[in-house]
Amino acid sequence: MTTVNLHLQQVKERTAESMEEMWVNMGPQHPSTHGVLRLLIKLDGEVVRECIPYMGYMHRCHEKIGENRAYVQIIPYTDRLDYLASMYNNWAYCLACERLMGIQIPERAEYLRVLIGELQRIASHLIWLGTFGLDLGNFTLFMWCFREREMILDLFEAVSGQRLNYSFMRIGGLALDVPEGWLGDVKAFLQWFKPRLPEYDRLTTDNIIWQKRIQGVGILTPEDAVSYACSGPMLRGSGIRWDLRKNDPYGIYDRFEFDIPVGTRGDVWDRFWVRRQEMEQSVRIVEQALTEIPPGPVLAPVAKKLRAPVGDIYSRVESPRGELGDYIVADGSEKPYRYKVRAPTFVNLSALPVMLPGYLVADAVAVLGSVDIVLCEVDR
Amino acid sequence: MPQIREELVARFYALFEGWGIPWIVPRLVVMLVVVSIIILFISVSAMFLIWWERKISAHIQARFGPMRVGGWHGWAQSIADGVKLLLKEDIIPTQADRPVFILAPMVVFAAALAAYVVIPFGPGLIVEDLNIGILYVIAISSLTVVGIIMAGWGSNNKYAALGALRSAAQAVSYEVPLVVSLIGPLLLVGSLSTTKIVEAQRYLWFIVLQPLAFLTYFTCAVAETNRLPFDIPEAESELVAGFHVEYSGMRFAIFFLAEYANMFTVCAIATTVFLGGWRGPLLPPWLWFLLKTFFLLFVMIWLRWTLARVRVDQLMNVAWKVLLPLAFANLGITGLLVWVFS
Amino acid sequence: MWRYLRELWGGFWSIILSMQITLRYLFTRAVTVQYPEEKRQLPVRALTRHVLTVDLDSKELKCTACDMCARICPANCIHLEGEGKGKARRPKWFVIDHNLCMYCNLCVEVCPFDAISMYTGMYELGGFSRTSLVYDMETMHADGFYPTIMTPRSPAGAAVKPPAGAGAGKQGRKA
Repeated sequence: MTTVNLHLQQVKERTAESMEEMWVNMGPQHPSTHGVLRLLIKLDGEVVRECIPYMGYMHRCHEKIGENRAYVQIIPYTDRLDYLASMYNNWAYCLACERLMGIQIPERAEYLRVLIGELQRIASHLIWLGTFGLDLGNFTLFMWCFREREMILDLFEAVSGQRLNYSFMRIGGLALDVPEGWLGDVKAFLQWFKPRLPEYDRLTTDNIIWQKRIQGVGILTPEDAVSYACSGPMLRGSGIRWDLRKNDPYGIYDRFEFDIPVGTRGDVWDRFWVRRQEMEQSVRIVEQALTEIPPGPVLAPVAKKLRAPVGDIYSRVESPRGELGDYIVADGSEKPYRYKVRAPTFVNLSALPVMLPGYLVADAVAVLGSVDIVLCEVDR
Repeated sequence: MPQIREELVARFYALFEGWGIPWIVPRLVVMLVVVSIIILFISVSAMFLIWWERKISAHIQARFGPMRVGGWHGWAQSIADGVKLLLKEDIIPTQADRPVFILAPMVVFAAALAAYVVIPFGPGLIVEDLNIGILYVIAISSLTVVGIIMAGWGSNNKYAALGALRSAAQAVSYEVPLVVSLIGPLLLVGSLSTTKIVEAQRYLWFIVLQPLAFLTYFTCAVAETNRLPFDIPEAESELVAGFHVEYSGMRFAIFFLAEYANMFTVCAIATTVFLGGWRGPLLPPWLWFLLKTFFLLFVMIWLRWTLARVRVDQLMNVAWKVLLPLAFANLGITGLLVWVFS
Repeated sequence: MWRYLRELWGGFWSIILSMQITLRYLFTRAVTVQYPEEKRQLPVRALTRHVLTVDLDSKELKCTACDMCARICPANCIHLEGEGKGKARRPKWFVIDHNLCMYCNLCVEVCPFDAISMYTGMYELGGFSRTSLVYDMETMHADGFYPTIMTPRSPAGAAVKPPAGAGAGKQGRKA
C-alpha cells in the first residue's frame, strides 16, 4: 500500500468516524426540559434517531413519606407533586380518602371544588402555553400567559392564603368557605380572561410560523397512545374521546354541560389545540358553577382523628395533565398502609421515545413541550 | 464638512513630513483615531440598543424592564452589565482548541467593525467612500460566519458545533437572496458607492420603487444577524446558546457587542439603499440617518418579540423557495424597466 | 403558482397581525409591582409567619400547650413544652422552625383555643442564617389583634387592618 493510499484510508476511517451518529445529552440542565429531565438523544446531523429519557433526579420518596403520615397530614405533601395544579392533587387524594371512608361532602363544597378545579385547569394550561411558547422561541406569549395566571393565583390566594401549594381541600370538603365577594371576583376574572384568548391566538393559532412549527410533528398514533396508557390532552390529541369528567364522572361533573375537544392527527398541533379549547370549556364550566352554587357548609362533619376501614381504593380525577389516580391501602390505623400515586406525566413521558425519532432537534423540544411534564410529579 | 476633514488630514501629514518622519506614521495615527471613534460609536450604540431592546421587550410583555440602575428607567443597566462582564473570570474549557477559541470573538468583532467603513452617516461623514461600497459590506459581513464556525469548533461542545453548522448553512443560503435583492436598487443607481446611492434618492426613496426588494433584504438581514425568528444558530431553547455556549465574561460580551454592531450595520445599509440615507427636511443629516436606522432596528426588535423561531428546514425553504424567487423576480422586472426607460 | 402566492400573502399577513397586537401591548400599562417600593396588599388569608395570639384584655397567651399543633404538623416543625395544670397551663417554651414549615395551616385549623394564627402579613422573613428562621415564643408573642380563622369573614382582597402597632417591630428579632 502506497503512502497516498494509506493516507486516503486514514481519511476515510476518520470521516466514517465523524459521520457517525452523535449522542447528545439534553438535560438535566437544559433550558427546555422543564426541570431536571435528562434526554439522551442520538443525533444524525440534526435528525433525532433515538431518545432515552432518564428521570428520577427529583425523587423525594413521596409515597414512602405518605405511609408515615396520618391521612390529613398527607394533604400538604400532595401539593408538591404537580405544583402547577396543586388543587387537583389535593382533590384526587381527598376524593380517594372520602371514598375509602365513605364520607359524603356537602353540596357547596362539591361546587367549589369544581369551580376551583377548573380555574386551576385554566392556570395550568396557561403556564403550559407560556412555556411551550418559550420552547418555540416566543417569549412574549410566556409573559402574557403568566399575567393571567397570576390573576388566578390571586384568586386562590384570597381563598387559601397560598399562591402555589394551596393545601386547600380537606377530607370531607374544603378547609374554609370562600371569602365574601370572591365569586364576583371570579366573574370579573372571566370577563377579563375571555377576550385574552383571541389575543393569544394572534400570536399562536393564526401565526404562520407557529402553525408550521408544530403541524405534523411528533405524531402519536391512537394505538400507541392507548398502549402507552397516555391520558389527558395527549390521548385526546390523538383522537380518542376520553375524559374522566365525562367517562367516569367524579364529584358533580355530570351536572355540567361542556364539550371534550379532540384532535385528529395526534401531532403537537392537536395537543396544543386541545389544550387551547379546554381553556374555553373550563370557562364554560366555571360560569355554570357560578350560577348554580348553593349556600351551605363546606366541610362535612368528620372525626378529628381519621381512621380508614381496612380495604383499598383507587380513585382518579382528570387533572390538566391526564388521569391522576391515588391508590390507598388502609389497614385500619390512622396512617395508610400503602399509598401510590399514578402520575399522568410520568406515563405520558414514557411515550416520548415513540414520538421523537425521525424529527429534528427543534421538533424534539416542541414535542417534549407538548407532553406538558412537571418533573416533580414524574419523579415523585 | 468633507473639505475641512481633508484639509485637517492634509495638514497633519504635512506636519509629520516637516519633521522628517516617514508617511506611514501619521497614516497609522489617523487610522487609529478613526478606529477608536468607530469602536466608541459601536459600544455606545450597542449599549443603547441593548437597553432599548430590553425596554421594548418589557413593555410588549406588560412589564417594566430594567428600572433601577442609574435612576431614570435604568438607563445605566447596560453599562453595569458591561462592567460586570469585563470583571468576570475568563474561562476556557480544558478540551477547547485554545487559539481558535480565543480568536473567534475577535474575528466576529473585526468583521462587524470593518463594515462600518462605508456607512454614510451624512454627506462626507464616511470613513472611506469606496467605489465598491455595497459589495464590500456584503463581503465583510459574510466573514462573521467564519468567526461563528471557529467558536463552534473551538469550544469542543456538541451544542456549539451544531450551532456553528446551522450558522454556516444559514449564512450560505441567506447571502444569495440578500445580494440579489440589493442588485435592483443598484441597477437604478448604476454605482456601488454608498454616497452615490444616497444621492440618487434625492427625489424618491427606493423603498417606493423597490418595496419587494426592501422586504426581501430586510428578511435576509434579520437572518444574517441571527435574530429571532431566524436565530437558530443560538436557539436557546434547543441548543442552549448555540455557538457561544462555552463563552463567558469578556469574550461573551464581544460576541454580544458584535451582534448588535451587525444589527446596526444591516439597518444602516437598508437606510442607505432604501430609505434615502441622510436625506430629510429640517433636522441635520446625521440625525436623520440615525433616526431611520433606529426605526428599522425597532422593527427588528419588535419582530423578535412577536414571532416564534422557525425550524432549520423551514429556514432553508424560506430562503430558497420564497426569498430567492422574489428577489429574482424583482431583479428581472427592475432590469426590464431600466432597459425600457433608458 | 396562484396557491404559492396566496400562501405567501397569508403568511405575511398573519405576521403583520401578530405584530399589530404586540404593538398595541407596547403602549399598555405594565402590570409589574416594583416590590420594595410598592407592596401589593395581601389578602387576609395570606399564610405568613406564625403568631401566638393573646387575649386582648389580659395580654396573655391563649395557648394552653395542648400539643395538638405539634402533633398534626406534617413537617414536625413545632416543638413546645407546657407547664402548669388545668386552666393555668401555659407553654414554657414554644419553637417553630420556619425552615421546615410548609404553610399548610393545619396547626391553625386544629387549635381548639384559636391560639395560633398565620394571618399576620409578616412575609419578609429573609435572614442570613438558618437559625434566624427558628422562632421562639418571645418572637411569636402577639402584641395586639391578629385575624384568625375564627374571625368573621371579610371581603376578599381587602385585608383587615390590625390595630396600630400590631406586628411591628417583632420581625427582625432573632430567635
